Amino acid sequence: MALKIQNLCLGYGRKRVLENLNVVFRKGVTCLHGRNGAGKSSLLRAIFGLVNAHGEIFHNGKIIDRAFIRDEISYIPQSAQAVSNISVFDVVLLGNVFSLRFMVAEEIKEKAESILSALGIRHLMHHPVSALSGGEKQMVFLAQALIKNPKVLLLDEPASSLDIYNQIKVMKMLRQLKDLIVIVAAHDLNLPIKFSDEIVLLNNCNVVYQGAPEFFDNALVEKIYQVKSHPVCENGVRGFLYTDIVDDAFPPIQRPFPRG
Amino acid sequence: MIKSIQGKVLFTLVLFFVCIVLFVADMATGPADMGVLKILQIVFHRHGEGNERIIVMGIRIPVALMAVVVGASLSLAGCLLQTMLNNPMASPYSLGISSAAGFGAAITIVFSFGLSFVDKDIAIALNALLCSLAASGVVYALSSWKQASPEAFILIGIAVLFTFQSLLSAVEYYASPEDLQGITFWLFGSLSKATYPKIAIISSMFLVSFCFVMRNAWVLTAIRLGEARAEALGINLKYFRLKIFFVVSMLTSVAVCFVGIIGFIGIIAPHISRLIIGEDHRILLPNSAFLGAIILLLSSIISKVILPGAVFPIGIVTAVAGIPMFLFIILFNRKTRLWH
Repeated sequence: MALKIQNLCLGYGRKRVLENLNVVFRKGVTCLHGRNGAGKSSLLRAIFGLVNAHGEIFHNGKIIDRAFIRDEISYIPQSAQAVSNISVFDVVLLGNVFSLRFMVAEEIKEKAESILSALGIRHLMHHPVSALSGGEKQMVFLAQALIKNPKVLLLDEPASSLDIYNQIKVMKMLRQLKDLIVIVAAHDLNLPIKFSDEIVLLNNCNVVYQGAPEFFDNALVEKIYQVKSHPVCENGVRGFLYTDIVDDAFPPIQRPFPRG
Repeated sequence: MIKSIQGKVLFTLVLFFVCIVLFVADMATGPADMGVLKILQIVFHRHGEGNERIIVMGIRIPVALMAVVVGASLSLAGCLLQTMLNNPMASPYSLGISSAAGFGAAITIVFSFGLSFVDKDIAIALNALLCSLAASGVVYALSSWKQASPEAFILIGIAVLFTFQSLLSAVEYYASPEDLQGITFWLFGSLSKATYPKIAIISSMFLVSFCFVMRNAWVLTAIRLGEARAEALGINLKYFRLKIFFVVSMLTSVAVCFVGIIGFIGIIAPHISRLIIGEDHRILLPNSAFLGAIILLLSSIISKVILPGAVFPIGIVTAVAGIPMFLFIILFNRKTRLWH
Protein backbone atom coordinates (compact mmCIF):
# COMPACT_ATOMS: atom_id res chain seq x y z
CA MET A 1 0.00 0.00 0.00
CA ALA A 2 1.64 3.21 -1.11
CA LEU A 3 0.87 6.65 -2.47
CA LYS A 4 3.33 7.52 -5.18
CA ILE A 5 3.79 11.06 -6.38
CA GLN A 6 5.57 11.50 -9.68
CA ASN A 7 6.91 14.67 -11.30
CA LEU A 8 4.56 16.94 -9.41
CA CYS A 9 4.86 20.62 -10.33
CA LEU A 10 2.88 23.30 -8.63
CA GLY A 11 3.05 27.06 -8.57
CA TYR A 12 1.00 30.12 -7.74
CA GLY A 13 1.41 32.73 -10.45
CA ARG A 14 5.11 32.96 -11.17
CA LYS A 15 6.16 31.48 -7.87
CA ARG A 16 7.15 27.83 -8.04
CA VAL A 17 6.19 25.91 -4.94
CA LEU A 18 6.95 22.34 -5.94
CA GLU A 19 9.03 21.28 -8.90
CA ASN A 20 9.36 17.74 -10.27
CA LEU A 21 8.61 16.32 -6.88
CA ASN A 22 8.92 12.55 -6.58
CA VAL A 23 8.05 10.88 -3.32
CA VAL A 24 6.43 7.69 -2.08
CA PHE A 25 4.31 7.65 1.07
CA ARG A 26 3.91 4.26 2.69
CA LYS A 27 1.55 2.81 5.26
CA GLY A 28 1.95 4.41 8.66
CA VAL A 29 2.54 7.96 9.78
CA THR A 30 4.72 10.17 7.60
CA CYS A 31 5.56 13.62 8.87
CA LEU A 32 6.05 16.36 6.33
CA HIS A 33 8.49 19.05 7.39
CA GLY A 34 9.87 22.20 5.90
CA ARG A 35 10.02 25.90 6.45
CA ASN A 36 7.02 28.18 6.00
CA GLY A 37 6.19 28.28 2.32
CA ALA A 38 8.13 25.11 1.54
CA GLY A 39 4.98 23.58 0.07
CA LYS A 40 3.78 21.24 2.82
CA SER A 41 0.17 22.45 2.72
CA SER A 42 0.28 22.80 -1.05
CA LEU A 43 1.39 19.19 -1.42
CA LEU A 44 -1.50 18.00 0.76
CA ARG A 45 -3.95 20.18 -1.16
CA ALA A 46 -2.58 18.88 -4.45
CA ILE A 47 -3.06 15.27 -3.33
CA PHE A 48 -6.65 16.11 -2.36
CA GLY A 49 -7.22 17.83 -5.70
CA LEU A 50 -7.90 21.29 -4.30
CA VAL A 51 -5.18 22.95 -6.37
CA ASN A 52 -4.26 22.35 -9.97
CA ALA A 53 -0.93 20.63 -10.19
CA HIS A 54 0.91 18.93 -13.01
CA GLY A 55 2.14 15.42 -12.44
CA GLU A 56 0.77 12.06 -11.51
CA ILE A 57 -0.35 10.61 -8.22
CA PHE A 58 -0.73 6.85 -7.96
CA HIS A 59 -2.29 4.72 -5.27
CA ASN A 60 -1.16 1.10 -5.49
CA GLY A 61 -0.12 1.67 -9.07
CA LYS A 62 -3.38 3.31 -10.20
CA ILE A 63 -3.75 6.99 -10.98
CA ILE A 64 -6.13 8.53 -8.46
CA ASP A 65 -9.27 10.21 -9.79
CA ARG A 66 -12.06 12.35 -8.32
CA ALA A 67 -14.04 9.33 -7.16
CA PHE A 68 -11.02 7.91 -5.36
CA ILE A 69 -10.35 11.25 -3.67
CA ARG A 70 -13.97 11.54 -2.58
CA ASP A 71 -14.26 8.01 -1.26
CA GLU A 72 -10.81 7.09 -0.03
CA ILE A 73 -8.94 10.24 0.99
CA SER A 74 -9.73 12.34 4.04
CA TYR A 75 -8.20 15.76 4.48
CA ILE A 76 -8.21 17.88 7.62
CA PRO A 77 -7.27 21.48 6.82
CA GLN A 78 -5.23 23.68 9.13
CA SER A 79 -7.39 24.46 12.12
CA ALA A 80 -9.86 26.88 10.63
CA GLN A 81 -12.05 28.11 13.46
CA ALA A 82 -15.32 26.25 13.50
CA VAL A 83 -17.81 28.51 15.21
CA SER A 84 -20.96 26.78 14.32
CA ASN A 85 -23.86 25.43 16.29
CA ILE A 86 -23.73 22.08 14.56
CA SER A 87 -23.64 19.24 17.08
CA VAL A 88 -20.55 17.07 17.35
CA PHE A 89 -22.52 14.05 16.17
CA ASP A 90 -23.69 15.83 13.02
CA VAL A 91 -20.18 17.10 12.32
CA VAL A 92 -18.93 13.52 12.40
CA LEU A 93 -21.76 12.37 10.13
CA LEU A 94 -20.83 15.12 7.65
CA GLY A 95 -17.58 13.25 6.99
CA ASN A 96 -19.75 11.09 4.77
CA VAL A 97 -21.72 13.99 3.32
CA PHE A 98 -22.33 12.52 -0.13
CA SER A 99 -23.75 9.25 1.09
CA LEU A 100 -26.03 10.79 3.71
CA ARG A 101 -29.73 10.50 2.99
CA PHE A 102 -32.47 12.61 4.53
CA MET A 103 -32.97 9.99 7.23
CA VAL A 104 -29.52 8.86 8.34
CA ALA A 105 -29.06 5.08 8.17
CA GLU A 106 -28.70 3.33 11.53
CA GLU A 107 -25.39 1.76 10.58
CA ILE A 108 -23.83 5.15 9.84
CA LYS A 109 -25.07 6.42 13.21
CA GLU A 110 -23.63 3.40 14.98
CA LYS A 111 -20.34 3.84 13.21
CA ALA A 112 -20.15 7.50 14.18
CA GLU A 113 -20.83 6.57 17.80
CA SER A 114 -18.18 3.87 17.80
CA ILE A 115 -15.58 6.23 16.36
CA LEU A 116 -16.47 8.87 18.94
CA SER A 117 -16.06 6.24 21.68
CA ALA A 118 -12.73 5.12 20.27
CA LEU A 119 -11.44 8.69 20.35
CA GLY A 120 -12.82 9.17 23.86
CA ILE A 121 -15.23 11.99 23.05
CA ARG A 122 -18.54 10.13 22.99
CA HIS A 123 -19.79 12.18 25.96
CA LEU A 124 -19.58 15.34 23.84
CA MET A 125 -21.88 13.92 21.16
CA HIS A 126 -24.71 16.41 21.57
CA HIS A 127 -22.61 19.49 22.30
CA PRO A 128 -22.33 22.19 19.65
CA VAL A 129 -18.86 22.06 18.16
CA SER A 130 -18.33 25.77 18.88
CA ALA A 131 -18.43 25.06 22.63
CA LEU A 132 -15.46 22.66 22.58
CA SER A 133 -11.83 23.33 23.38
CA GLY A 134 -9.19 23.26 20.67
CA GLY A 135 -8.07 19.73 21.50
CA GLU A 136 -11.62 18.40 21.55
CA LYS A 137 -12.37 20.09 18.21
CA GLN A 138 -9.32 18.46 16.64
CA MET A 139 -10.55 15.07 17.89
CA VAL A 140 -13.99 15.75 16.41
CA PHE A 141 -12.50 16.53 13.01
CA LEU A 142 -10.32 13.44 13.26
CA ALA A 143 -13.50 11.43 13.87
CA GLN A 144 -15.11 13.17 10.89
CA ALA A 145 -12.16 12.23 8.70
CA LEU A 146 -12.23 8.60 9.83
CA ILE A 147 -15.93 7.88 9.33
CA LYS A 148 -15.58 7.16 5.62
CA ASN A 149 -12.88 4.54 6.24
CA PRO A 150 -10.26 6.34 4.18
CA LYS A 151 -7.16 4.69 2.78
CA VAL A 152 -5.23 7.96 2.96
CA LEU A 153 -5.47 10.56 5.71
CA LEU A 154 -3.99 14.03 5.21
CA LEU A 155 -3.59 16.39 8.15
CA ASP A 156 -2.40 19.96 7.85
CA GLU A 157 -0.72 20.97 11.09
CA PRO A 158 -3.12 19.17 13.40
CA ALA A 159 -1.13 20.21 16.45
CA SER A 160 -0.65 23.88 15.68
CA SER A 161 -3.12 25.24 18.24
CA LEU A 162 -2.89 22.48 20.83
CA ASP A 163 -1.13 22.28 24.18
CA ILE A 164 1.61 19.66 24.58
CA TYR A 165 -0.76 17.14 26.22
CA ASN A 166 -3.16 17.29 23.29
CA GLN A 167 -0.33 17.32 20.76
CA ILE A 168 0.91 14.00 22.13
CA LYS A 169 -2.62 12.67 22.30
CA VAL A 170 -3.27 13.44 18.63
CA MET A 171 0.06 11.96 17.51
CA LYS A 172 -0.53 8.79 19.55
CA MET A 173 -3.99 8.48 18.07
CA LEU A 174 -2.58 8.74 14.55
CA ARG A 175 0.02 6.11 15.39
CA GLN A 176 -2.70 3.68 16.39
CA LEU A 177 -4.52 3.88 13.04
CA LYS A 178 -3.86 0.64 11.22
CA ASP A 179 -3.66 0.06 7.47
CA LEU A 180 -3.73 3.71 6.61
CA ILE A 181 -1.36 6.08 4.88
CA VAL A 182 -1.23 9.07 7.21
CA ILE A 183 0.54 12.22 6.04
CA VAL A 184 0.97 14.96 8.60
CA ALA A 185 2.33 18.42 7.87
CA ALA A 186 4.05 19.55 11.04
CA HIS A 187 6.36 22.17 12.48
CA ASP A 188 7.46 20.58 15.69
CA LEU A 189 10.37 18.18 15.21
CA ASN A 190 10.44 16.38 18.52
CA LEU A 191 7.09 14.61 18.58
CA PRO A 192 7.37 13.33 14.99
CA ILE A 193 10.71 11.71 15.84
CA LYS A 194 9.00 9.64 18.46
CA PHE A 195 5.61 9.06 16.84
CA SER A 196 6.17 8.85 13.10
CA ASP A 197 7.40 6.05 10.88
CA GLU A 198 9.03 8.28 8.35
CA ILE A 199 10.04 11.89 7.91
CA VAL A 200 9.96 13.83 4.64
CA LEU A 201 11.67 17.18 4.53
CA LEU A 202 10.81 19.70 1.81
CA ASN A 203 13.06 22.54 0.77
CA ASN A 204 13.54 24.56 -2.42
CA CYS A 205 10.55 22.99 -4.17
CA ASN A 206 11.69 19.44 -3.58
CA VAL A 207 12.33 16.62 -1.13
CA VAL A 208 15.69 16.93 0.59
CA TYR A 209 15.31 14.10 3.07
CA GLN A 210 13.17 11.03 3.30
CA GLY A 211 13.85 8.38 5.82
CA ALA A 212 13.37 6.94 9.25
CA PRO A 213 13.17 9.46 12.09
CA GLU A 214 16.21 7.87 13.74
CA PHE A 215 18.47 9.14 10.99
CA PHE A 216 17.07 12.67 10.91
CA ASP A 217 20.06 14.51 12.27
CA ASN A 218 20.91 17.82 13.79
CA ALA A 219 23.08 19.06 10.95
CA LEU A 220 20.14 18.84 8.56
CA VAL A 221 17.91 20.78 10.92
CA GLU A 222 20.52 23.51 11.26
CA LYS A 223 21.07 23.68 7.51
CA ILE A 224 17.45 23.74 6.39
CA TYR A 225 15.91 25.84 9.16
CA GLN A 226 18.95 28.12 9.60
CA VAL A 227 18.86 27.72 13.36
CA LYS A 228 21.31 26.73 16.01
CA SER A 229 20.12 23.40 17.30
CA HIS A 230 21.40 20.94 19.86
CA PRO A 231 20.66 17.25 19.76
CA VAL A 232 19.22 15.89 22.98
CA CYS A 233 19.35 12.24 23.87
CA GLU A 234 18.31 10.85 27.19
CA ASN A 235 17.26 7.29 28.04
CA GLY A 236 16.88 6.53 24.35
CA VAL A 237 14.58 9.49 23.68
CA ARG A 238 15.91 11.76 20.96
CA GLY A 239 15.06 15.34 20.25
CA PHE A 240 16.28 18.77 19.29
CA LEU A 241 16.66 21.87 21.36
CA TYR A 242 16.71 24.91 19.11
CA THR A 243 18.05 27.98 20.79
CA ASP A 244 18.87 30.68 18.25
CA ILE A 245 18.76 31.56 14.60
CA VAL A 246 21.87 31.62 12.46
CA ASP A 247 23.00 35.21 12.42
CA ASP A 248 23.57 35.86 8.76
CA ALA A 249 20.25 34.30 7.80
CA PHE A 250 18.38 37.34 9.08
CA PRO A 251 20.32 40.60 9.10
CA PRO A 252 19.31 42.84 11.98
CA ILE A 253 16.25 44.93 11.16
CA GLN A 254 17.12 48.56 10.58
CA ARG A 255 14.66 51.31 11.16
CA PRO A 256 13.98 53.12 7.92
CA PHE A 257 13.55 56.39 9.80
CA PRO A 258 15.38 56.99 13.04
CA ARG A 259 13.14 58.02 15.89
CA GLY A 260 12.99 61.58 17.10
CA MET B 1 -31.74 26.45 20.80
CA ILE B 2 -33.58 23.16 20.79
CA LYS B 3 -31.09 20.32 21.02
CA SER B 4 -32.94 17.09 20.34
CA ILE B 5 -34.08 16.25 16.85
CA GLN B 6 -37.53 15.29 18.13
CA GLY B 7 -37.89 18.72 19.70
CA LYS B 8 -36.95 20.40 16.45
CA VAL B 9 -39.44 18.35 14.44
CA LEU B 10 -42.12 19.05 17.04
CA PHE B 11 -41.43 22.79 16.89
CA THR B 12 -41.70 22.71 13.10
CA LEU B 13 -45.03 20.89 13.37
CA VAL B 14 -46.23 23.55 15.84
CA LEU B 15 -45.29 26.22 13.30
CA PHE B 16 -47.25 24.31 10.67
CA PHE B 17 -50.39 24.41 12.84
CA VAL B 18 -49.87 28.08 13.68
CA CYS B 19 -49.62 28.64 9.95
CA ILE B 20 -52.99 26.96 9.39
CA VAL B 21 -54.64 28.93 12.21
CA LEU B 22 -53.28 32.22 10.85
CA PHE B 23 -54.37 31.23 7.36
CA VAL B 24 -57.95 30.91 8.58
CA ALA B 25 -57.64 34.11 10.60
CA ASP B 26 -56.37 35.94 7.54
CA MET B 27 -59.35 34.67 5.54
CA ALA B 28 -61.64 35.95 8.26
CA THR B 29 -60.29 39.51 8.35
CA GLY B 30 -61.31 42.12 5.85
CA PRO B 31 -63.76 44.92 5.16
CA ALA B 32 -66.75 42.59 4.67
CA ASP B 33 -67.51 41.33 8.17
CA MET B 34 -67.58 37.55 8.14
CA GLY B 35 -66.87 35.24 11.06
CA VAL B 36 -64.53 32.28 10.95
CA LEU B 37 -67.45 29.85 11.04
CA LYS B 38 -69.14 31.44 8.08
CA ILE B 39 -65.92 31.38 6.09
CA LEU B 40 -65.40 27.70 6.83
CA GLN B 41 -69.01 26.98 5.89
CA ILE B 42 -68.54 28.73 2.57
CA VAL B 43 -65.32 26.90 1.86
CA PHE B 44 -66.37 23.40 2.88
CA HIS B 45 -70.14 23.30 2.38
CA ARG B 46 -70.42 25.88 -0.36
CA HIS B 47 -73.11 27.71 1.63
CA GLY B 48 -73.50 31.45 1.55
CA GLU B 49 -74.92 34.14 -0.68
CA GLY B 50 -73.38 35.01 -4.03
CA ASN B 51 -71.39 38.02 -2.91
CA GLU B 52 -69.96 36.36 0.15
CA ARG B 53 -68.88 33.37 -1.88
CA ILE B 54 -67.17 35.63 -4.39
CA ILE B 55 -65.38 37.54 -1.64
CA VAL B 56 -64.12 34.38 0.04
CA MET B 57 -63.22 32.34 -3.03
CA GLY B 58 -62.07 35.23 -5.20
CA ILE B 59 -60.30 37.52 -2.74
CA ARG B 60 -59.75 36.13 0.74
CA ILE B 61 -58.40 32.69 -0.16
CA PRO B 62 -56.08 33.92 -2.94
CA VAL B 63 -54.67 36.66 -0.68
CA ALA B 64 -54.06 34.22 2.17
CA LEU B 65 -52.53 31.63 -0.16
CA MET B 66 -50.36 34.30 -1.72
CA ALA B 67 -49.14 35.33 1.73
CA VAL B 68 -48.17 31.71 2.45
CA VAL B 69 -46.32 31.00 -0.79
CA VAL B 70 -44.59 34.37 -1.03
CA GLY B 71 -43.57 34.34 2.63
CA ALA B 72 -42.25 30.81 2.34
CA SER B 73 -40.40 31.54 -0.92
CA LEU B 74 -38.69 34.70 0.30
CA SER B 75 -37.76 33.16 3.61
CA LEU B 76 -36.36 30.01 1.99
CA ALA B 77 -34.39 32.14 -0.46
CA GLY B 78 -32.97 34.21 2.40
CA CYS B 79 -32.02 31.15 4.41
CA LEU B 80 -30.24 29.57 1.43
CA LEU B 81 -28.38 32.75 0.62
CA GLN B 82 -27.18 33.28 4.18
CA THR B 83 -25.94 29.70 4.38
CA MET B 84 -24.22 29.67 1.05
CA LEU B 85 -22.50 33.03 1.52
CA ASN B 86 -21.87 32.37 5.22
CA ASN B 87 -23.10 35.87 5.88
CA PRO B 88 -25.95 37.02 8.11
CA MET B 89 -26.58 40.12 6.02
CA ALA B 90 -27.29 38.35 2.77
CA SER B 91 -30.89 38.50 1.67
CA PRO B 92 -32.60 38.12 -1.71
CA TYR B 93 -32.87 41.91 -1.81
CA SER B 94 -29.27 42.72 -1.05
CA LEU B 95 -28.23 41.09 -4.33
CA GLY B 96 -30.19 43.59 -6.40
CA ILE B 97 -32.92 41.18 -7.49
CA SER B 98 -35.75 43.26 -6.09
CA SER B 99 -34.54 46.64 -7.29
CA ALA B 100 -34.28 45.16 -10.77
CA ALA B 101 -37.88 43.97 -10.47
CA GLY B 102 -38.88 47.49 -9.39
CA PHE B 103 -37.13 48.91 -12.42
CA GLY B 104 -38.94 46.43 -14.69
CA ALA B 105 -42.30 47.39 -13.22
CA ALA B 106 -41.50 51.09 -13.52
CA ILE B 107 -40.58 50.99 -17.23
CA THR B 108 -43.82 49.13 -17.92
CA ILE B 109 -45.86 51.71 -16.06
CA VAL B 110 -44.11 54.74 -17.57
CA PHE B 111 -43.24 53.63 -21.10
CA SER B 112 -46.05 51.07 -21.54
CA PHE B 113 -43.53 48.38 -22.43
CA GLY B 114 -45.21 45.32 -23.90
CA LEU B 115 -48.71 46.63 -23.25
CA SER B 116 -49.74 46.01 -26.83
CA PHE B 117 -49.42 42.26 -26.31
CA VAL B 118 -50.81 41.60 -22.87
CA ASP B 119 -52.84 43.04 -20.05
CA LYS B 120 -51.13 45.76 -17.96
CA ASP B 121 -51.00 43.65 -14.82
CA ILE B 122 -49.31 40.75 -16.61
CA ALA B 123 -46.98 43.07 -18.52
CA ILE B 124 -45.75 44.59 -15.25
CA ALA B 125 -45.13 41.14 -13.76
CA LEU B 126 -43.41 39.88 -16.90
CA ASN B 127 -41.11 42.86 -17.18
CA ALA B 128 -40.33 42.74 -13.47
CA LEU B 129 -39.51 39.05 -13.86
CA LEU B 130 -37.33 39.64 -16.90
CA CYS B 131 -35.42 42.46 -15.24
CA SER B 132 -34.84 40.56 -12.02
CA LEU B 133 -33.68 37.51 -13.96
CA ALA B 134 -31.37 39.78 -15.95
CA ALA B 135 -29.96 41.22 -12.71
CA SER B 136 -29.45 37.70 -11.33
CA GLY B 137 -27.83 36.77 -14.61
CA VAL B 138 -25.37 39.63 -14.30
CA VAL B 139 -24.48 38.69 -10.71
CA TYR B 140 -24.25 35.03 -11.72
CA ALA B 141 -22.09 35.70 -14.77
CA LEU B 142 -19.68 38.03 -13.01
CA SER B 143 -19.31 35.71 -10.03
CA SER B 144 -18.80 32.57 -12.07
CA TRP B 145 -16.45 34.32 -14.49
CA LYS B 146 -14.00 35.20 -11.73
CA GLN B 147 -15.03 32.38 -9.36
CA ALA B 148 -15.99 34.95 -6.79
CA SER B 149 -15.57 34.55 -3.06
CA PRO B 150 -18.68 35.08 -0.89
CA GLU B 151 -17.64 38.67 -0.16
CA ALA B 152 -17.17 39.44 -3.85
CA PHE B 153 -20.55 37.86 -4.52
CA ILE B 154 -22.24 40.26 -2.11
CA LEU B 155 -20.31 43.25 -3.44
CA ILE B 156 -21.28 42.41 -7.02
CA GLY B 157 -24.89 42.12 -5.81
CA ILE B 158 -24.68 45.55 -4.17
CA ALA B 159 -23.25 47.05 -7.36
CA VAL B 160 -26.19 45.64 -9.32
CA LEU B 161 -28.58 46.88 -6.61
CA PHE B 162 -27.34 50.46 -6.92
CA THR B 163 -27.31 50.33 -10.70
CA PHE B 164 -30.98 49.39 -10.87
CA GLN B 165 -31.90 51.81 -8.11
CA SER B 166 -30.43 54.70 -10.07
CA LEU B 167 -32.07 53.48 -13.26
CA LEU B 168 -35.36 53.36 -11.35
CA SER B 169 -34.81 56.94 -10.17
CA ALA B 170 -34.11 57.97 -13.76
CA VAL B 171 -37.40 56.42 -14.89
CA GLU B 172 -39.20 58.14 -12.02
CA TYR B 173 -37.69 61.45 -13.13
CA TYR B 174 -39.40 61.10 -16.51
CA ALA B 175 -42.69 59.78 -15.10
CA SER B 176 -45.93 61.74 -14.97
CA PRO B 177 -47.47 62.23 -11.50
CA GLU B 178 -50.03 59.45 -12.12
CA ASP B 179 -47.36 57.02 -13.26
CA LEU B 180 -45.20 57.98 -10.31
CA GLN B 181 -48.07 57.04 -8.02
CA GLY B 182 -48.39 53.72 -9.81
CA ILE B 183 -44.68 53.00 -9.37
CA THR B 184 -44.76 53.93 -5.70
CA PHE B 185 -47.71 51.62 -5.06
CA TRP B 186 -46.05 48.76 -6.86
CA LEU B 187 -42.89 49.26 -4.81
CA PHE B 188 -44.91 49.15 -1.57
CA GLY B 189 -45.77 45.55 -2.24
CA SER B 190 -49.29 44.19 -2.15
CA LEU B 191 -51.02 40.83 -2.02
CA SER B 192 -54.35 42.18 -3.21
CA LYS B 193 -53.82 41.30 -6.86
CA ALA B 194 -53.52 37.62 -6.05
CA THR B 195 -55.09 35.17 -8.48
CA TYR B 196 -55.00 31.39 -8.64
CA PRO B 197 -52.73 31.17 -11.72
CA LYS B 198 -50.16 33.44 -10.05
CA ILE B 199 -50.31 31.33 -6.91
CA ALA B 200 -49.86 28.19 -8.99
CA ILE B 201 -46.74 29.63 -10.63
CA ILE B 202 -45.14 30.76 -7.37
CA SER B 203 -46.00 27.59 -5.50
CA SER B 204 -44.72 25.27 -8.22
CA MET B 205 -41.48 27.25 -8.29
CA PHE B 206 -41.32 26.93 -4.52
CA LEU B 207 -41.99 23.19 -4.54
CA VAL B 208 -39.36 22.44 -7.18
CA SER B 209 -36.76 24.54 -5.33
CA PHE B 210 -37.71 23.07 -1.99
CA CYS B 211 -37.29 19.49 -3.21
CA PHE B 212 -33.91 20.36 -4.74
CA VAL B 213 -32.54 22.02 -1.63
CA MET B 214 -33.87 19.35 0.70
CA ARG B 215 -31.92 16.78 -1.31
CA ASN B 216 -28.84 18.88 -0.62
CA ALA B 217 -29.65 19.66 3.01
CA TRP B 218 -26.56 17.90 4.37
CA VAL B 219 -24.27 19.72 1.98
CA LEU B 220 -25.76 23.03 3.11
CA THR B 221 -25.16 22.04 6.73
CA ALA B 222 -21.56 21.20 5.86
CA ILE B 223 -21.04 24.62 4.30
CA ARG B 224 -21.79 26.19 7.68
CA LEU B 225 -18.64 24.53 9.05
CA GLY B 226 -16.72 27.13 7.07
CA GLU B 227 -15.32 27.28 3.58
CA ALA B 228 -12.09 25.39 4.27
CA ARG B 229 -13.82 22.55 6.08
CA ALA B 230 -16.53 22.22 3.44
CA GLU B 231 -13.88 21.98 0.71
CA ALA B 232 -12.06 19.39 2.75
CA LEU B 233 -15.24 17.29 2.75
CA GLY B 234 -15.02 17.19 -1.03
CA ILE B 235 -17.73 19.76 -1.74
CA ASN B 236 -17.16 21.77 -4.92
CA LEU B 237 -18.11 25.06 -3.29
CA LYS B 238 -17.91 27.34 -6.29
CA TYR B 239 -20.12 25.12 -8.40
CA PHE B 240 -22.58 24.49 -5.58
CA ARG B 241 -22.78 28.17 -4.73
CA LEU B 242 -23.82 29.02 -8.27
CA LYS B 243 -26.44 26.26 -8.25
CA ILE B 244 -27.94 27.59 -5.03
CA PHE B 245 -27.81 31.15 -6.33
CA PHE B 246 -29.78 30.05 -9.38
CA VAL B 247 -32.47 28.58 -7.12
CA VAL B 248 -32.52 31.72 -4.97
CA SER B 249 -32.85 34.07 -7.91
CA MET B 250 -35.68 32.06 -9.46
CA LEU B 251 -37.55 31.88 -6.13
CA THR B 252 -37.17 35.61 -5.48
CA SER B 253 -37.83 36.83 -9.00
CA VAL B 254 -41.03 34.83 -9.36
CA ALA B 255 -42.33 35.92 -5.96
CA VAL B 256 -41.38 39.58 -6.30
CA CYS B 257 -42.72 40.07 -9.82
CA PHE B 258 -46.28 39.37 -8.69
CA VAL B 259 -46.43 41.09 -5.32
CA GLY B 260 -43.90 43.90 -5.46
CA ILE B 261 -41.26 44.48 -2.87
CA ILE B 262 -42.04 42.91 0.47
CA GLY B 263 -38.89 43.44 2.42
CA PHE B 264 -37.24 41.94 5.41
CA ILE B 265 -38.89 38.51 5.53
CA GLY B 266 -35.84 37.03 3.83
CA ILE B 267 -33.74 38.19 6.77
CA ILE B 268 -35.97 37.92 9.85
CA ALA B 269 -37.50 34.49 9.37
CA PRO B 270 -34.29 32.55 8.68
CA HIS B 271 -32.56 34.31 11.58
CA ILE B 272 -35.22 33.33 14.08
CA SER B 273 -35.30 29.77 12.75
CA ARG B 274 -31.54 29.46 12.95
CA LEU B 275 -31.60 30.67 16.55
CA ILE B 276 -34.16 28.08 17.55
CA ILE B 277 -33.32 25.13 15.32
CA GLY B 278 -29.57 25.45 14.82
CA GLU B 279 -27.79 24.45 11.66
CA ASP B 280 -29.41 21.15 10.73
CA HIS B 281 -30.75 22.21 7.34
CA ARG B 282 -33.05 19.22 7.06
CA ILE B 283 -35.23 20.96 9.61
CA LEU B 284 -34.02 24.54 9.29
CA LEU B 285 -35.20 24.91 5.68
CA PRO B 286 -38.84 23.84 6.18
CA ASN B 287 -38.86 25.66 9.48
CA SER B 288 -37.84 29.00 8.06
CA ALA B 289 -40.27 28.54 5.17
CA PHE B 290 -43.14 28.07 7.65
CA LEU B 291 -41.94 31.01 9.71
CA GLY B 292 -41.79 33.21 6.62
CA ALA B 293 -45.37 32.22 5.79
CA ILE B 294 -46.44 32.96 9.36
CA ILE B 295 -44.83 36.40 9.40
CA LEU B 296 -46.39 37.37 6.08
CA LEU B 297 -49.82 36.08 7.18
CA LEU B 298 -49.54 38.13 10.38
CA SER B 299 -48.53 41.19 8.38
CA SER B 300 -51.42 40.62 6.03
CA ILE B 301 -53.85 40.49 8.96
CA ILE B 302 -52.36 43.66 10.48
CA SER B 303 -52.48 45.46 7.14
CA LYS B 304 -56.20 44.73 6.89
CA VAL B 305 -56.99 45.66 10.49
CA ILE B 306 -54.94 48.86 10.72
CA LEU B 307 -57.11 50.92 8.37
CA PRO B 308 -60.76 49.89 8.62
CA GLY B 309 -62.25 49.49 5.16
CA ALA B 310 -58.94 49.62 3.33
CA VAL B 311 -55.75 47.58 2.97
CA PHE B 312 -52.55 49.19 4.20
CA PRO B 313 -49.54 48.29 1.98
CA ILE B 314 -48.18 45.05 3.35
CA GLY B 315 -44.55 45.82 2.50
CA ILE B 316 -44.64 48.70 4.99
CA VAL B 317 -46.21 46.53 7.70
CA THR B 318 -43.59 43.78 7.39
CA ALA B 319 -40.73 46.23 7.67
CA VAL B 320 -42.20 48.36 10.45
CA ALA B 321 -43.36 45.41 12.54
CA GLY B 322 -40.34 43.32 11.67
CA ILE B 323 -37.52 45.67 12.46
CA PRO B 324 -38.13 46.04 16.23
CA MET B 325 -38.50 42.28 16.54
CA PHE B 326 -35.33 41.78 14.55
CA LEU B 327 -33.33 44.28 16.60
CA PHE B 328 -34.61 42.70 19.80
CA ILE B 329 -33.37 39.30 18.71
CA ILE B 330 -29.97 40.58 17.67
CA LEU B 331 -29.33 42.81 20.66
CA PHE B 332 -30.64 40.55 23.40
CA ASN B 333 -29.26 37.31 22.16
CA ARG B 334 -25.82 36.92 23.63
CA LYS B 335 -25.91 33.26 24.45
CA THR B 336 -25.59 31.75 21.03
CA ARG B 337 -23.14 33.11 18.52
CA LEU B 338 -24.36 32.11 15.13
CA TRP B 339 -21.85 33.63 12.78
CA HIS B 340 -18.08 33.75 12.83
